[in-house]
Amino acid sequence: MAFLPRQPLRPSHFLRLRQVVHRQVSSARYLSVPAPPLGNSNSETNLGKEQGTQARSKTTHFGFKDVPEYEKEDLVREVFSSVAKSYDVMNDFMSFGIHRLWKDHFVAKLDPGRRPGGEPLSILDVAGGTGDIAFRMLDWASDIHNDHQSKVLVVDINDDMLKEGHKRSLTTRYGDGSRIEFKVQNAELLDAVPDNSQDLYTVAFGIRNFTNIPAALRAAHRILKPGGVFACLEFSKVNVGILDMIYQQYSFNIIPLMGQLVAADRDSYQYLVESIARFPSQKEFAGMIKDAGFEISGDGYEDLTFGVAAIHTGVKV
Amino acid sequence: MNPNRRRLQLSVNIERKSLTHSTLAFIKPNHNICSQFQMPSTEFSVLVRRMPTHLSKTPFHCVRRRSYHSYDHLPYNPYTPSQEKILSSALKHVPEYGFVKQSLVQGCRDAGYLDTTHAVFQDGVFDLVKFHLYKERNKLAALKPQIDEDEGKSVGKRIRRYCTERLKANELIISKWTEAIAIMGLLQNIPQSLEELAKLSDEIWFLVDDKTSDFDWYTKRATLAAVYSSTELYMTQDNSPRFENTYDYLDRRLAAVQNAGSSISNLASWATFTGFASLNLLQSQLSRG
Repeated sequence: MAFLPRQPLRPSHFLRLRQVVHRQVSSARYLSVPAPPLGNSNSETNLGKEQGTQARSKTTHFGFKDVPEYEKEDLVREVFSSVAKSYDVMNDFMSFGIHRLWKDHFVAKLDPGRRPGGEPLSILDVAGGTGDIAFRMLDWASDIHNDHQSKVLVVDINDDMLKEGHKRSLTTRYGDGSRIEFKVQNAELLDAVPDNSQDLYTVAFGIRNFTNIPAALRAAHRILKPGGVFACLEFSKVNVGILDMIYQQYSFNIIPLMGQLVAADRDSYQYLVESIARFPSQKEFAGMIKDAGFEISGDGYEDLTFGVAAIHTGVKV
Repeated sequence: MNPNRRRLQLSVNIERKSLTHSTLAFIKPNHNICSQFQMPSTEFSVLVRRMPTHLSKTPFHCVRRRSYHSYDHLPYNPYTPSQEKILSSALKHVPEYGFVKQSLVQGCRDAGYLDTTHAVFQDGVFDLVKFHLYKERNKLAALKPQIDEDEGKSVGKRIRRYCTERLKANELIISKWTEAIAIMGLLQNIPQSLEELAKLSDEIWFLVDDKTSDFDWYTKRATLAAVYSSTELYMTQDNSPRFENTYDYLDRRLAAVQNAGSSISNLASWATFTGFASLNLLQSQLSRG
């Protein structure tokens, strides 16, 4: 029997084209932790109390895993640093290109741009590292409203994503930097942005990674002018039972595999799908927006593709 | 009671996972559920009931609307004061711009907000259309004392009066109303538009003190909705002074419905009578042997 290889060859041996990166955050580790109740955005009510009264033992979720609050920021930064290069390619792969339609619809709905008799807009795009939304909004303002003055400030906690965005901006007509600016900022503080200064706050596929979502919503409320609009595009809950089943199968089985094959990084994509599953439902999130002081119209959200994603809006009055 | 009966120590290990807001654990005394699970009988058994999740953490549960008309409460208003202000100012711009985003933006400006504020309306211009329908429908109730006095007891006359009052509210924007009809006819907007039409029809029947509780409840509302919507469509093409042709058209439609209604009820009473008569005839023939 000695001539037989120690391990039988499996198809995955041929599929693993590049070395898989195993960082400290392995999916095996966070799968072994029992899942806390869904929809509890920060679990100070549960784990925090069990672990004692120390301030630093407050926990939040990182995918299905509970981590101390002070660690999450670094963990998220690490995830996005590792996916920054392949971010858009992977988005296309995972959503079959639909994320482009969602983003286009998001911008068309906000319809940003200076109108006759109005002022140029100042827009804040939070967690907009690669500039996807920022370029779309500037294009919309220029092409639809013939507005060449409105400005976008792109902030992100991750420098690698911002560098990627800045690199991309050089190939566009906004390359001179007069209309688009990139800044490293924590969305919960936004300390470089003055109060009552922005017309529009956008965050696309970013808010679920924030450590403290209510704090980020309060920061958004602070920096918006009265009448300014908070708009959020984010993955949400599928509202048709059978489609939800298919979607769950797809997101937990296919997406991490794709991440492994295309980006050689299974853990980051495992985190992405887990963070999507942990994000509150449309109604709960609309309630959080209301709690932060925004006024919403009707239900306050619009479902995209049966609720795979949703657009939430709120206005500061 | 058998004193030796073993008392089961119930140690309920409910996983942390199941202790969400949606789970309600309660103890029900003397409920013999244990026999179903071949467990020794106990005085207490524990039932864990799962509440429907949609009831548990809904942030809007406190503002859920009633499904009946309450005389003791103000009607449900889906609009906040600021939204009402924006939308009412936007409607003033409709005769000029039409049912387009421009009107909405002008409304935001007039109400003292920013140009971007329009983005908060999830359905955009359709929200403006819905607001017009909602506002004009709710104005009808205030006319009730006047109409009751003017038109007396006749249901037909009062219905006609409510329809004309509602149509008059469209006079200012009738040149742009085709745009609104086009928006209401979009696939995603059809359910809400039909709902609004049904509500208008129901409102009018309610205001004429209709107390029907049989199948007529539906036919009455359906026929009035059909009459009203066709008249509204006619009105968009009407160039006569003060929309005289439209009101003539409304009269003809209402008369036709009344004729049809009376023919149907005549037919129904004839059919009932004939049916019973033939049954009785058959019965008497059979009993004779």
